Amino acid sequence: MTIKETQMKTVPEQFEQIELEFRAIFADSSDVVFRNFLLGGRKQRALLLFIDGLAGKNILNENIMRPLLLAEEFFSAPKSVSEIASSVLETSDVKKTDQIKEIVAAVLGGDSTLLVEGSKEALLIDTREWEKRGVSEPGNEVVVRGPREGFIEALRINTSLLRRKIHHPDLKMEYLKSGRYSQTDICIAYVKGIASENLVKEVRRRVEHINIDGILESGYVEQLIEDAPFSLFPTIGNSEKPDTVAAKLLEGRVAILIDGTPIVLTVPLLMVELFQSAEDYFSRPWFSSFVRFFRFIAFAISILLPAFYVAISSFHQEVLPNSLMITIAAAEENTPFPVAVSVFMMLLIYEMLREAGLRLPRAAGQAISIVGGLVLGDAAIRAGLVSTPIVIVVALTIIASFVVSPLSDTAGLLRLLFIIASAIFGSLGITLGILFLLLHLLSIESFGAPYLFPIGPLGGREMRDTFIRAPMWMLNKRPRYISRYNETRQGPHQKPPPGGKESEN
Amino acid sequence: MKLDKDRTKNRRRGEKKVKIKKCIFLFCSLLCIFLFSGCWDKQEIKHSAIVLGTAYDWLEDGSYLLTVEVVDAMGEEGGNVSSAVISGAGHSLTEAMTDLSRRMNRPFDWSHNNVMIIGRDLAEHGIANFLNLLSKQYPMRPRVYVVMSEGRGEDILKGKIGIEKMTSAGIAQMIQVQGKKSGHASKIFLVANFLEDCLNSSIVPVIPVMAVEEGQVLLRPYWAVIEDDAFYGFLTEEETKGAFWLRNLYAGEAMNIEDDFGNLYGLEVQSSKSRWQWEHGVDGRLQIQVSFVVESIVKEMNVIGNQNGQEMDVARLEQKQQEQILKEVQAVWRKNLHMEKDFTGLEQEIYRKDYPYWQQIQNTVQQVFADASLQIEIHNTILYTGNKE
Repeated sequence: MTIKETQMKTVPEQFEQIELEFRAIFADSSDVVFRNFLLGGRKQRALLLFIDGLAGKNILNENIMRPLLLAEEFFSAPKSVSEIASSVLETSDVKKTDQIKEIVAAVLGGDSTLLVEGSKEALLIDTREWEKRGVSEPGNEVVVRGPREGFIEALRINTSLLRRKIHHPDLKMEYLKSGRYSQTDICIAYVKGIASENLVKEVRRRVEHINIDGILESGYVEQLIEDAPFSLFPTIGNSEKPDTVAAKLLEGRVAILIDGTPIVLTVPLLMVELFQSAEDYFSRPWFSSFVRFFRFIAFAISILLPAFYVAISSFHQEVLPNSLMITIAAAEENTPFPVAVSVFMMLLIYEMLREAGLRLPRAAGQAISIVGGLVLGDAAIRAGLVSTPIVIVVALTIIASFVVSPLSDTAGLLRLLFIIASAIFGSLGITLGILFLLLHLLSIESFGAPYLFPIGPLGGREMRDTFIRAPMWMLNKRPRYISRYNETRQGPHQKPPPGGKESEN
Repeated sequence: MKLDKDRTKNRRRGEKKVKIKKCIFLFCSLLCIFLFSGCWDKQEIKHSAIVLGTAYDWLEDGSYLLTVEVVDAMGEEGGNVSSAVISGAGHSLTEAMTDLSRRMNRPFDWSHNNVMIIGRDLAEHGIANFLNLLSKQYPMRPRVYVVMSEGRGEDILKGKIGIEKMTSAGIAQMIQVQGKKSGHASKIFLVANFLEDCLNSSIVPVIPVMAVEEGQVLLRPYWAVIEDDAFYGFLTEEETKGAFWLRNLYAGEAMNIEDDFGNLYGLEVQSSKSRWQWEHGVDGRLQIQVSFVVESIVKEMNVIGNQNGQEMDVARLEQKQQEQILKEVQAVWRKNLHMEKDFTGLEQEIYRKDYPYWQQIQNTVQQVFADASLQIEIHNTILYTGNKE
């Protein structure tokens, strides 16, 4: 029997029939436990249904089985599930249902189901307790100053981490299940009154529209609800840090938490967000602004530097100063390949090494790094296969691409396209490439917000948190297009000293 | 109903037309990109012969000798970048270039040409058209220096400059640094300015002069005068300096002055401004006045001699400087009148500020200058500075 066949089916009246029904549903599932017993050791039969490994044995033994077996006096007469729930069970979260579909879903989710003779309803008891990783510092978003905690794979823990950041009843968390077979729990979180209702509605609509076999990671959801599926640029943000997600919620964004992954999605995403880091807001504005501006430059370097090198060395040598020209000429003299081919080759080798280093066991990964970085790089130069300036250009590009880590994959592909354009058309190719890139960025949206905002369309006050990070007391408005109806995020006169000049007197 | 249908049809037709127009526009744009740029313009650095300097000579048999200094990236000892000097001859520039190309297996990259050296023979034969053609046909950077060689230009490129491996780069460096510091007649003169002067009738083009002595390339402290696109003669060092003062080129230069006790003071001219004024006298003669405002400093370390136990007399030094400037300006003015050429830039000043008058005198300008009276006024100050105990 499949879950589909259980649609709208209710628990049968005959107790023998109940067990048969569930045994048919969970046929060939050795981890599903059917525990038959007599309530209080008397005559009324009961069945406890749970999955070994998902339900906590301690709760089952101490808080469910023990009271049910020892309450002899209470069970002197047959009791209904409501009476059992209110008088015997020692657990906090208990629900009643007569729908088989709900019971199956609850059991698969780690809850236990208690079915008793003479009652058409079942009790769903929260006994979820499985092995999980502890809250730890996320590896992808390391900060020097700021909270170290990160999301984990358990949805419930993740929502609690968010709740710990925003202690307000307006933080809403809507649950739904998705994935025909995986039945993955998805939580849509937002702050009511800040997030636009239309945005919440749209997120809900898109998530509910997902109809695939399984959702095993947030990437599945991301790819199925994004606005520009063919773009190289992500239009949905993600983070592993509760403080980052909380900050985004407070700006009016919506978070999508998915069970089984520590990556939380946030929408809408503006491109400038990819250049922001949580630490920007924890440090003082001067250094944050410097780093923020530097990230934009680093991104430009990561996509354009190899292309510029190819264009200059193949088409526009005249722009090089004499001494640099001579140095490059001397370095390139003995190499067998054209500059474009050498650069392309080096970047592909790098991508290969990176992939190999990532996928291999850690010890072997280090060996690959040494072989790739030191042996191959050095040997390639000594053998005259590539020139030293090319190695420097590629190394600089790679380093720059990691400065804006959310865009490093995008930059990796873009730089290859720019190299091809520059190898064919020189600097004109680069110019055209930049033009097309800007046109593309201007044309895409993320859940109704222009992707390139506040650069295009131009946002005046939002510029305070774009290329620079203005002092906190100046960031008194939420970004437009994100929270349209509740823009003010802090009270007046926040400039230190608190209260302004009045407090000085 | 029929009318509505027609309207819809027309609208669709209109939209289709716009679409076709857009497609044509896009196609033309892409075609332009492919035509104006593309891999066929590609020239890898390693496949080009990078020209660092060029020399142009006129041979006795009436042919051109074109000599280039190119980068030898392989190096003589393998790895050390050096340069090679190659020459090609022909009865025309194109022929010389073809001959040169035959001797080189790579296309030339002219964009890094530092210096153009004109041999004296070619200078006497005539150069402006030649330079013009060259600068148009082989586009170079705007900062290409033009110099004249006392002998053959080829010899300059084959000569040595200090420890420089590449002579042309050394020449450019010498013009930029050494010339500027030593106060020699080596004021930076770019080929673009030189060509402009050649085309300008109200000023005489002048260029720095180089020579080779015992294999070493030297910058002479005087300029060569070009007249009617050909070499005319040299200005002496004194006359060259006079022209410097009048053309406001002396700022940043060094100036040596000897006092009454034989001490030598190395002055650094901080700023120098000249101002021409003229009026028509009652006798019809032009009364010209040129005034200078010169500010200089002299550092203690730049004083050679023991000053004979005397405290330095700045006022006396200023007087000496005034006398020297006067001497140099008078020298160039005399040369002006003698050669009937204008090295001073006065005619250009009149052209700019008093055009109607210039129109009156343009054909007899040298005569007018010869009849004119020149009054020179110098306002100079010297600041003495240094760590004096």
